[in-house]
Order: sequence, then C-alpha cells, then structure tokens
Amino acid sequence: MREFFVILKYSFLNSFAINKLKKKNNPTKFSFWKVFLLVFLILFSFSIVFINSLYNAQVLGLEYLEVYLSLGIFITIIFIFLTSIPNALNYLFKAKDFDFLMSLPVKTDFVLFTKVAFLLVINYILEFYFFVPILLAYAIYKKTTFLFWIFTLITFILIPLLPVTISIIISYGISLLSPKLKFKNLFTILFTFALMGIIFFVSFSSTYLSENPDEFTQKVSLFLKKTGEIAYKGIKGDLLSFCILIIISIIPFVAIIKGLSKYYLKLNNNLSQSPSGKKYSVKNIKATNQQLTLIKKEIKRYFGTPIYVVNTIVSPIFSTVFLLMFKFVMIPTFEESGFYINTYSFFGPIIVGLVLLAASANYITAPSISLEGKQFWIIRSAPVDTKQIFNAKVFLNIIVTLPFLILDAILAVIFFNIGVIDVLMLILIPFIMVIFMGYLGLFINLFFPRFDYDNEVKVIKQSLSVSLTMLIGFLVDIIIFFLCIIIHIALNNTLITYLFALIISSVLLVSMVILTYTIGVKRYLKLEV
Amino acid sequence: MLEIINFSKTYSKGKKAVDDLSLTVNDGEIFGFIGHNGAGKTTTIKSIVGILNFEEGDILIDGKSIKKYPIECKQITAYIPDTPNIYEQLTGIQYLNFIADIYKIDYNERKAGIEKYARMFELENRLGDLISSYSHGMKQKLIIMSALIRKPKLLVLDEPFVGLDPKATFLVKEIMKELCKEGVSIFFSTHILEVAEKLCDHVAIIKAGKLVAYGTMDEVKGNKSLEDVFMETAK
Repeated sequence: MREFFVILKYSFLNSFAINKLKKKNNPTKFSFWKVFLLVFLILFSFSIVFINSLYNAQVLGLEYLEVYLSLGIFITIIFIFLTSIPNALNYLFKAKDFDFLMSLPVKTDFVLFTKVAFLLVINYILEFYFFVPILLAYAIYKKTTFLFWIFTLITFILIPLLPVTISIIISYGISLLSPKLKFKNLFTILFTFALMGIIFFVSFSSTYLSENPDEFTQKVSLFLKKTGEIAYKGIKGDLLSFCILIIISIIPFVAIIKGLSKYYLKLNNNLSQSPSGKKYSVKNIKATNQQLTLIKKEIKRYFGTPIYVVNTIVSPIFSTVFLLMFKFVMIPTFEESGFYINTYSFFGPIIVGLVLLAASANYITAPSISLEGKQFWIIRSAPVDTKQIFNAKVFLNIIVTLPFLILDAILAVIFFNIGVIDVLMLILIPFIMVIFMGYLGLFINLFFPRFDYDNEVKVIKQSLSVSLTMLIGFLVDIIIFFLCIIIHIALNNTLITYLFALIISSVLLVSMVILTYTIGVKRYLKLEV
Repeated sequence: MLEIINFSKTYSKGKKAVDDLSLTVNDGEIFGFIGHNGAGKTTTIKSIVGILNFEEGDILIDGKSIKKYPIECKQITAYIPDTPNIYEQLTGIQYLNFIADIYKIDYNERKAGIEKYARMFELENRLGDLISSYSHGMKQKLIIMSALIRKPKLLVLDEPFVGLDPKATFLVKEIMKELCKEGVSIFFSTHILEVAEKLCDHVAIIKAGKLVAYGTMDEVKGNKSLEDVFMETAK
C-alpha cells in the first residue's frame, strides 16, 4: 500500500506541475488559481442571479429551489459521465508513463489504483465547479441543517463513482475493440459521440423542466438508474436513498477496479500495438505547397487525437442540437402553454443568437501550439513563414465548424422558414466569430503554452490557455448577445441589429488578426521547448 | 541471473515479434544484444522487465519467473529505456527520491548513492531543477543514476549510449565493468558494435525475431570483427 501512496504523491507533483507553482519568479505562478477562482465566482454569481430571479418572480415559491438542487446534481452527473469516457481512455489505457510504472516493483493493482484516483480527482474538480455554486446558492435561500451538510459531503464524494465506473467499463470496451480496427481513432470518436448522443437523448427526450419538482426529479431518474434522484433524496435526508447511493456507488466501483486489475497489463499491451504488415509501395506521391501541407498536418493531428476532437467539436454540434431542441422541445412546450407563434420570421434573430453562442464557443486553437509538444522543433526549424503556421491552425477551426453552420442554415430554412437575410446572417456572423475565436485561442496559447505535458488531456482540457479562451470567448459572446437584444428592443429593427452584430464581430476579428500577426508572431519567435 | 527459455512474443494478427528465443546471462556477465531496427530487441527487453506480457516460454530472473513473481524480479532489476521518458514536472532530486522510495532504499544509502553518482555525472548542481529543463543526455544520466542507486543484481539497458556525451559514455562503460566485477549481470542492446565488441563477454544477434548467432564474443566473431559478422547475418 505504501507504494500506492508514493506513486500517487509523485504523480500529483508531476501532473499538476506543483513544482512550477512553488517556483519563485514564475509569471504564471498564481494565474491558474486566479482563473480557477474567477470561473468559480462567475458560476456562483450566475447561480445567485438565476435563483434570485426565480425566487423574486415567485414562480413556484421555494419549491423551485428543490428543482434547482436536483438540476445541479443532474448536470453534474451528466458532465462527469461525458468527460470521464475520454479521460478514462487516456489515463487508464494510453498513459505515457505506463512502461515506466510497470517496470517498477509495484503491483499492477496499485498502478491502476493511482490512475483511477487521478480520474476521480479530475471529476471532483469538475463537480466542485458545477455542483458547489448551485449548492451554496441553494443554502443561501433555504435553511439547511448540519445533517444536510454531512449528507451533502458524503454525496459529493460518492457522486462521481458510478459515472466513473460506467466510463471505465465503456473505455474498457473501446480498448478491447480498437486494436483490432484499422481506423481506431475514428472508431473511438464515433463511439464516444454515439454514447454522448444516447445520454443526451435519454436525458432530454422527455419535457425539459417540468413545473412539478417531484415530477422533474423523476425525469432525472432516467439517467444512470435513478442516481440523480437517489443522490437528491439522500441529501434531503432520506436514509434509504442515502444507503442505496452508498451501495450502488461503492460496490460496482470496487468490483470493476478489482476485475480490471487482472487484465490491465494485457489490455495496455494490446493497445500499444498497431496493425501493420502490409507491404507499402511508393507510388502516387503528390507534392503540395507549404500552406496546404501545414493545413493537412493540422487536420491529421486533430483527427488523430480522439480526445481533441471529442472535446472541441462539441460546440459546433451543439449549435445544431440547439436548433433541433428549439424546434422539437421548446416550441411544442410554448404551444402547450397556449403561446402560438404564427410567423416564423419571429425566430430569425433568436436562431442567429443561439447558433452564435454555441458555434463560437469552440477552443480548437487554444491548445494548438502546446500540442506541438516536444515536436515543436519540427515546425520551428521548417523554412515556413510564421503566418502560414497560424493560418493553418485557424483554418482547421473553420474546416471543423463551417459544415455545422451550413447545416444549421439548411435546418433553419426547413424548420423555421426564415428569410434570406436571416440565413445569410446565420452563416456570416457565427462564421466571423468562429474565426475570431480561432485567433483568440491561438494568441492566448502563445502566451501560455505548455509543451512538457505527459498526457494530451492536460493540454486539451486542463490548461490555462483553454480556460482563458473559453472564459474570454464566453464573455465576448454574452456581451454581443445582450447588446444586440438591447438594440433590438430599442429600435425594433432586425436589420440594424444584424448590422450591429456584423460590425462589432468584424471589428473584433480584425483587431485579433492584427494582434496575432504582430505581437503574436514576436511571441512565437521567442517560444522555446 | 537471467534465463530466457523458448520465449516467443506474438502481436495481433499472428505476427511473431520474437520467435523461440533462448539464452542465458550468468552472474557478473556483460551480455550484448544486437539486431536491426524492428528485430525484436526492445520487445525482448520489455518482456524481461515485465512491461510486456507473453504467453510462450518463460523468463527467469535469479531463478524466478517474471510471470509468476513480477514484484520480486523487478525488485532486483534496473531497467534503462531507450528514450528518457520520465516525469518532467519533478525535479531531479524528487525523481531520485521517488525511485528510492519505491525500491525501499534507506536514507543513508540513498544519500550516499545520489551524492556519489551526481558527482560522477556532474549533475549535483542541477538536481534541484525541473527535469523538463534537462537536455536529452542529462535525462539519460538521471535515469542511469536512478538505476545505479538501487544497486540492482540485473541491469537491463536499451540503447544506453544514445544521447550521452563522450565523457558520460566512457563513464557508463567503466561503471558497467565495475558492476560486472561486483557480480551484477548486465544485459544491453546497442547499435554501436565497437562498444559491444570491447565490452561484452557474451553476445547474441537477433534477426526478424529469431536468434541467428549466440555465444561468447570469440565464438561469435571468430577472426572477424563483430561488424563483419553482423553484416553477414543481415544478408
């Protein structure tokens, strides 16, 4: 057991770069914690504002707080589940330190335990972000007891166990199957998305938010065999639910870890193999220009890293999912409430706004410099202009997002019969913001690169560059969105609102391009690995 | 010390990376393992140190099977990989401490070992720095240090001289000879045939997973140079 704690201690030191944080004269010393705290405060503020508006509106009185709490648990479980599948794959089955750890005189079980412990810590951080702000906001408005906090603390510890167990089983399945396949990356990406789609469909196929909190918690129960409901009831002091939560969380978790430890070495060995053996003959080699070569390199890098795709393609996919939800979930809900909309032209600006918010929330370029990693020398020593390198990275952003924007426009025409101007704006405004986000992510990454990662997850999901890009992008989107609403209400002219959005997004893009090609290029030339 | 008995390793699609390999490394012997890229050297080495599992044959370290007694075998073995892939966010001293903790080396022994080898490899002033700031050669030196402080009975090295400066290369060769005198067995792969020729008591040449030459250095090369023998087997 001693070895387990030794490995765990040094893994934490290494993975969270704690030595760097302790180091004097480190410009990013407190940046991570500042951003961490800032994001937490923003989420907490949103919770307070949301809960306060519901409370003041007296929609359902204090009952609505119960919906809010169960919603918090529900969202937390969904996010833990969705992020755990790619994380489990990377931490458990594709770890770069696997060879090193296996050469040590330590039981395979302990190596696996340290990896799982790491996975749990990542999920506790995620849970802290999603659940704690909601919980604190709830506690401000509703009187809580000491027992409530004891139950909550234990529930907080238990919540990630079942989603993590299921994620381990799924990633175990992927690990078993993928070595036998030629396109294993594509398989991993599609399989992960299929699962996400199923979870999303199961979670939201029923009415989204019922007026009756008890009914809503029943809807939550669709997800993960009533875990959400059980956790919610457990927190509320239902001892039976609390005991059930303990049993369904701990027993499968321990069982799967124990079972997996038997095959852990063999599975990792299988994963390190790649099918080969076919004789290759050199023919049909095509020569392309530098820019195209760089773009091809970016595309291959992107689709060759399933966790990169799964995490960054979500926002453009959500833009399409939002439209589908708007058509099939929200409009029927409006109509059930007796609010019929005869003219679909009403939807134009709303749809543009939704697509803008979703599609431009991507951060594909934010880890792109860091991902060069130890191979940064290849591109750095190549006789290419820095601008060409930047162009290729931003172009990848466009290639990934544009098909979804076009699909959104087609769906919007079919579903909502919106006008020509609306369609044009639906493509143009989000497209400009997508390019803006591409340059923003790249620019930020130039200042906060991380080349010395041992797992791509750390760069793609847990880097300062990604957090900052998402935060700044989100704030910019929200500001544009609300300014447009204000202008629309004040002038009641859709065309002027569109023009305003177009001008402000264009100004932002031009400013970002200038910054990237001046300060960004200088910064790039100073980068060292 | 090391006995490889009818060892075969098959990857997916039935491709044999190593086919029926048998060899023995005696106590206090330096054994060179030579072969082309992709011949099966690293597969064999990774199987010896318990990183790769295998179904056919067995590998015994100090008489114990790596399959049945992995912990006991690893406890007396030190492995130096071909690429210095280590925890880059640790400082050099933290990494050495980590290894010493895992191998349960007591305080005085680890302190003496670290001081001795840090001086020898001229790393004493850099042990407080992050490993990510080290050059390739420095990382390689650190890994060699971490192997030496644990006083192994069997040292398994995969291309140990890659990235080392001439002084460090000389030093490693001298250390290998010294360890050999102390009874430590050394099994290493290399592409530098001159080094193998001068250093090894026994040598084995592997080609496409099969052993094509094996014996004492004199038995294998006869009147020729090791390079000539290797080139002949490559045909």
